[in-house]
Amino acid sequence: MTNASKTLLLALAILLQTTLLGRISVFGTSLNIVFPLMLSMAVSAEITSAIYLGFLCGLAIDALTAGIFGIHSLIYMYFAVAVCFISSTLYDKGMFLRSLLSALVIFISEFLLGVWTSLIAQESILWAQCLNISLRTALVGAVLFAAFSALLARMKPFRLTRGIRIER
Amino acid sequence: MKRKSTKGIFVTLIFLTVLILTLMAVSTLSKDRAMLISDFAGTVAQPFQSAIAFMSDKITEGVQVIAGAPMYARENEELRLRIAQLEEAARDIETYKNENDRLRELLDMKRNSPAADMIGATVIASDIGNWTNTFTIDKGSNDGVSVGNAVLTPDGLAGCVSEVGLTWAKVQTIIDASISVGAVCGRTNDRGIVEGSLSLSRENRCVMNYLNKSSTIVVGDNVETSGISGTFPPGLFIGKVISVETKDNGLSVAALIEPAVDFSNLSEVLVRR
Repeated sequence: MTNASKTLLLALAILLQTTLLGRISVFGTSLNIVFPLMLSMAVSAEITSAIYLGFLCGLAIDALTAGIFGIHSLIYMYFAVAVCFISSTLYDKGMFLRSLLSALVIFISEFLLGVWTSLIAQESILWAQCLNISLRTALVGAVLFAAFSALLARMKPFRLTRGIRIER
Repeated sequence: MKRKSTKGIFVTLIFLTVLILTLMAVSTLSKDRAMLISDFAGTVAQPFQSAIAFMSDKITEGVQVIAGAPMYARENEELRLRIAQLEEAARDIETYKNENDRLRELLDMKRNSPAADMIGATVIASDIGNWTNTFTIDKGSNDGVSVGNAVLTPDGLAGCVSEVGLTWAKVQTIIDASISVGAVCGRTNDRGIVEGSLSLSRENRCVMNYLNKSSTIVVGDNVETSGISGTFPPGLFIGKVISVETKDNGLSVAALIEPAVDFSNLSEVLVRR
C-alpha cells in the first residue's frame, strides 16, 4: 500500500466521518473511524512517520470540525507516537494485546477531549459521564482497530517513507 | 546514530507541538474568521461533503419508496402493463414531493418574516465527537453569512454560526455546551439564559437558568429568544419547558427545555443574515 493509497484511505475516512458516520451512534457514542484507522497505520510505521501521520490526520480533523484549532492535532500526534513506540515491543505478541493498547489509547484520548470540552465550556467536569462515554468509545474503537489492522495486514507491505521498508 | 535519531525525533515532536500551540493561540484570538488552514480544508472538502450528503438523502428516500412498492403494486393491479413505468414515475414524484414540502416550509417561514434577510442552506456535515454539537452548512462568506448569524428551521431556533469560510460555515447548536441564548417565557415574560451542557446535550435537551425564584414558569410553557444579548433577534422559538426545579441555592429556578428542532434529522436550514 503506497503513501498515496494510505492518504486516500484516510481522506475518505475523514469525509465519511464528517458526513454519514457523524449521524450514527453505536452504544450511545459517536462512531469514530478516523482515530482507529490512524492508530492501525501508526502501529506498523517508523516513529517519524507516525509523528507526521498523527499530526496531519489531527490537523485535517481540526480544520473540518468546530472548536479550538489544534487539540486533535496534539492528541493524534502524541498517541500515534506512543502506539508506534509501544507496539514495537508488542508486535509478536498478537492482535489481542495491540487491540488492548488501542482501546487504552482511545479511552485516554476521549477522556482528555471530554475534560477539555468541559473546561472550554466553563462547566464542572462530569467525571462519571466522561469515564462512561470514553469506555464505550474505547470498546468500539478497539474493534475497529482490529478490523482495520486485519485489513491492512492483507495488503502488501507498505513503504511509509521513501527508501525505508518496514520489516515484518 | 541511534542518539542522533532519537534527538531528531524529539526535535520534530517539539517543533510540531510548538506549531500546534501557536495555531491554537491564533485560533482562539481570531474569532471572526476561520483560520487559513480551516478555510482551505473546508473549501476543498465542501463539494465532497455535499455530494455524500446528497447521495445519502437520495438512498434513504429510495429505500422508503422501495419499502412501499408492494402497496403500490396492489393498488395498480388493473394497470399491470404500465407498472414498471408507474413505479419509476412514483419514485420520482415521491422524491420531488418530499423536497418540495421541506422547501415550502422554509419558504413560508421566510415569507412570514419579510424584514429578515434569510438564505437557505443545506447541512453537509456534522461534528465527529461525543462532546460537541455542531454541524456544517454549504453557505459561507461568499453568500453573506457571518459569525453570529442565527440559524433557524421551520420548527424553531437551531443555533448560531460560529465559524465561517468562503463556501461553508460551522453552526453551534443550542444544545452545545459552549452556547448561551437570552430567552423569555412567552406566557409569563420571565427572563433567563438558555444554555447547553455536556450532560443534557446527549439527551437533546438544554436548560434555562437564572430564572427569578418567584417565576411562575410551568411545564409546557414555550420559550423564545428575548433579543437582549443582541446575538439572536427576539421572538425566535427555542422549545418547550419539560420540567422546573429550584436551584440548590434556592435563589433561582431552572427549567429543562426540549428544543423544538430535531438535530438528528436536520437537512435544510435558514440563516438569518
